[in-house]
Amino acid sequence: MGNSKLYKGSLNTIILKLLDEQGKMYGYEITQKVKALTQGELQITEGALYPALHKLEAEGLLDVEVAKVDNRLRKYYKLTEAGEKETVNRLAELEEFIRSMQNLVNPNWSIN
Amino acid sequence: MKLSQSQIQNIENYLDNKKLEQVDLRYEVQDHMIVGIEQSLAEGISYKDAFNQQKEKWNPELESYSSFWLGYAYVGPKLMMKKCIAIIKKIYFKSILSSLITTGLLLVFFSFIPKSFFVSAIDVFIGVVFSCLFLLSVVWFFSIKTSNIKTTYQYFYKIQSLNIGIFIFMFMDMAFNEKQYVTPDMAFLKLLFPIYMLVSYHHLFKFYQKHNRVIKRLA
Repeated sequence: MGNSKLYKGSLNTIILKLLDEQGKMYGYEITQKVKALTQGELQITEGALYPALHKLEAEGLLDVEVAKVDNRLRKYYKLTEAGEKETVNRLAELEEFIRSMQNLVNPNWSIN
Repeated sequence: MKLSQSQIQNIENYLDNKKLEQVDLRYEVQDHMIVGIEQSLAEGISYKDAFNQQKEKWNPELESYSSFWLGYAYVGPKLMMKKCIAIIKKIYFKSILSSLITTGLLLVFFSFIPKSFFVSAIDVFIGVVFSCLFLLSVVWFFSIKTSNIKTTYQYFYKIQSLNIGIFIFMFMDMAFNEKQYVTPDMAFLKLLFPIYMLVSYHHLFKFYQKHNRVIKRLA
């Protein structure tokens, strides 16, 4: 993961945001989507992605759906109702954090 | 480009070698490796190199791992153990908090009811309840242990049931043999102990249910 220390704290929010937009996704799909959206800048490792997904599932924010693909089972993750609410909160927190950082680093910049 | 049956079998063998037997994780890792290899093949990379790339990615996540949270005697693939740790941390916090609150409330409640209520028959009743719970946990243990399909929750149940089973058995023994375990002025810790056992037992039951749910969903 590029700049892993900076991204690490936002991984759960990134996952929630993607699932909010896409509806349901499987693990590999999430890694590829993030890679594509960030032009390869952010590459989520398997060791970071799956524990994060399992943690969000244990917290009741994600639900699992299983589908048969090419004769094997694939686990899709999707937001629960609680997950949808949490996504809104976490995105607001993240935006606030970005604003604060920008004020510190470059006071003239705005994300709006 | 889709993988052949023998190529998929190589992945299966690799996961067997790493002892990733829990279906809730195994199917996920297998699917991830297959899709990753297929994409590499589409980019012109040979199967052998693509498989090695995937193995390099997964080796650190599937290496043998143990933790203070589960007890160092228990060793398993890192990915599975981390999932168990995430569950147990949440449970410990919840169990301790709810046990403390329940114990406090019960002690307040005890102070309002007549002392004649605290007869040894209550202890016998509690002993019988704990005996039933103990027997039930043993039945679940064998039911889950003999299940052909392994899940993370099954692994977790096996670890936890041993600890909880021993404590429930100990409390059962105390309730039957000690005269008036439950008294109006009993010590906080003396009441906290069985309450915590009951809360833990509730979680044990949840694991049993989750194991069966995963089997239904994946098998």
